[in-house]
Amino acid sequence: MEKIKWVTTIILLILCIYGTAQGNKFIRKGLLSSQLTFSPSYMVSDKQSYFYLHGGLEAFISEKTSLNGETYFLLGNIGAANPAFEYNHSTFFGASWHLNKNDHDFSLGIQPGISFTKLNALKSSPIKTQGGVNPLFSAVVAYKFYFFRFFHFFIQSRFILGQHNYDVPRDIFELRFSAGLGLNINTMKAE
Amino acid sequence: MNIRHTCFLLPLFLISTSTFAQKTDAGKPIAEPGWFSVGARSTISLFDHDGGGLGTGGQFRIQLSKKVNTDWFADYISINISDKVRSEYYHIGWSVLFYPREEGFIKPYILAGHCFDYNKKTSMRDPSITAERWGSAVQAGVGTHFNLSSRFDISITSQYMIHLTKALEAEFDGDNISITEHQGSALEGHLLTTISLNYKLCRLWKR
Repeated sequence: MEKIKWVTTIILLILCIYGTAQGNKFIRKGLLSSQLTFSPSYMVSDKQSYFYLHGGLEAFISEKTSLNGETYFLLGNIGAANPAFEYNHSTFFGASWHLNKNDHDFSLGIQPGISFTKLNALKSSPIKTQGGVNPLFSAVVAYKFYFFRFFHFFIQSRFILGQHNYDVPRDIFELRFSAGLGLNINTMKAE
Repeated sequence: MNIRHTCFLLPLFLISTSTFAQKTDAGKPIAEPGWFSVGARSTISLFDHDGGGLGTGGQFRIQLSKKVNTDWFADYISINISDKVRSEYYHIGWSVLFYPREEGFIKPYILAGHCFDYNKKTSMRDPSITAERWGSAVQAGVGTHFNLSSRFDISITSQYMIHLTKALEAEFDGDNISITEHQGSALEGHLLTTISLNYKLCRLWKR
């Protein structure tokens, strides 16, 4: 109960601060925003961690909505001697809804996608594994701060749901985290 | 939650809702005929005799009148049958959407349509055990748009799709897997629940 009280208070305070603050200098229709970073992840279903090269492009179709395309390329795993996947590359396309004020931008997004996966064959086993394509659903929560006409800081987390259905079925239930410095440019003049 | 805390939260709640109520850019959603929109979709397949599955795809829409829209879609759904066989559905088809009300943030609709579907069932461990078929299907259901801005909407649709073709059946006998085609056509199908994101790109005609 105490936790719910604090969470409610914090959410309402954030909404008040956003709601009463001044307008945006950089965030408007026509803003193109891109990121390229390394993203660690946690595969909940396997209890394994991976890291990816993550690239993304976002186009604002209004101050509150944007279209997004993002791609992850698996670079390796963290810690495990026998990671479940040899590769697990994925690409997503979707849209986000934004709460933004003073060029602080909080967003929630939905991005359907696909992954290209292949299980890691055991070195001792002569059996080869197959690669395949799997549908994915993902939800994204992000915060960005546009501090200059060409740059912004960002932090993002993504929840992914899917299933690898080749050789041995594996749930793809993963949380990915990204942060860094991004590039942005306004393609339209302010009205 | 005590009264003191409630007294603190209530003004916060009122301030936050009032400021955001004034500052949304929802605008008046476009409802005129001729608009062409594009988008992406995620689909959950349920009540299939193969089991539940997840799909992804895309669509475009062409609005014919204020009350009638058309949805042209393609998707790929993958279903895991008992951890042994992968059932893949490819759908390409179209639906007609009818709106009881022409405007609003929430814009419900009923829809019905037709699609071509391709189903391939493959043993996960031995890809040489496989069978495929082409077919046709009809679908009908209900849904609603949530118009987040004048040009952008998120839509949730639930429709039942009946396959008008012979179904592929995966049978298991211990570790042996066989995939066969039913002798007669079966009116079997699945409930497809879709969440889609749509952006009105341009107006093809004016009237």
